[in-house]
Amino acid sequence: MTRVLLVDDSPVMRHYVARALKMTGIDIAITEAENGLVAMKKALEILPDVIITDLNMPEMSGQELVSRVHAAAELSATRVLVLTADRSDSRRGEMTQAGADAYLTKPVTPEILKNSLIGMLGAKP
Amino acid sequence: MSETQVVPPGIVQSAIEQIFQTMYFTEAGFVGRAQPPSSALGTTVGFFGETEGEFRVTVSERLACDMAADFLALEPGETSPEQVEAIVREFANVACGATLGAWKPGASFHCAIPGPLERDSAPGEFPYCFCVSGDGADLAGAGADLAIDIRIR
Repeated sequence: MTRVLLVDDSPVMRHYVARALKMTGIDIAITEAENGLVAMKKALEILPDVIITDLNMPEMSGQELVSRVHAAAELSATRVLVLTADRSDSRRGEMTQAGADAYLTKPVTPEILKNSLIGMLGAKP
Repeated sequence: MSETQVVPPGIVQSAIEQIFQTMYFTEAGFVGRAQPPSSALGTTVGFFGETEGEFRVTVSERLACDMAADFLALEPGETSPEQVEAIVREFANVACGATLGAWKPGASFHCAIPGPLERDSAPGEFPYCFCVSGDGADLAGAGADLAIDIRIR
């Protein structure tokens, strides 16, 4: 079973993405967090295979979360997918540099999410 | 003297149509400049970067409820007022990013967390209005139930 940590400050967006993840057909266990700070604590507890995170959140942003995950030895096998409304190339570049493995922009379909997950899990060491 | 920047209507139309098709499985008909819906929920998203301004959205209460039901896969009437408001904020966030990204590809933008749009601060017509229907109604004959204004500073 693939452990996914879903991070977004919007409960309705978490609901939508969780539903989309279930529609992929991949066997997934989902844990949710409402910001980067909560996500980091949960990540160190459950050691997720994939973190799907928004960027623009209170308390701790997605960008900070990506950097911390990238720096944490316990999470070296965890892949990070950024899911955001921000389409700017500069932000995409910043996130890639910070350690994100994939960058998707909203609106996203379950099909796109599925392909991205498969791509990341396939590349897992 | 700098020119006032205006987002071309075709850019907004294309971005909004794609969002409705992808996230709400329905069509959005562009009706151009019009009065915003009278009974509506409003939200605003500030954006910063190479171009700065405010992305203002009003959605009729009926459409907002339909959007929430579609988005959350619930029956109309099963959604809470909090969920409906959250859906409008999420829509504004996605619409802002999609529109700016299509308008200036490659430019650097940052969208703020959506906040409430006070009704008194948004008088008059909105330049980008849509009629959205998921039930096959005549879009051309109906009033706008989604109105967008993009104010560039």
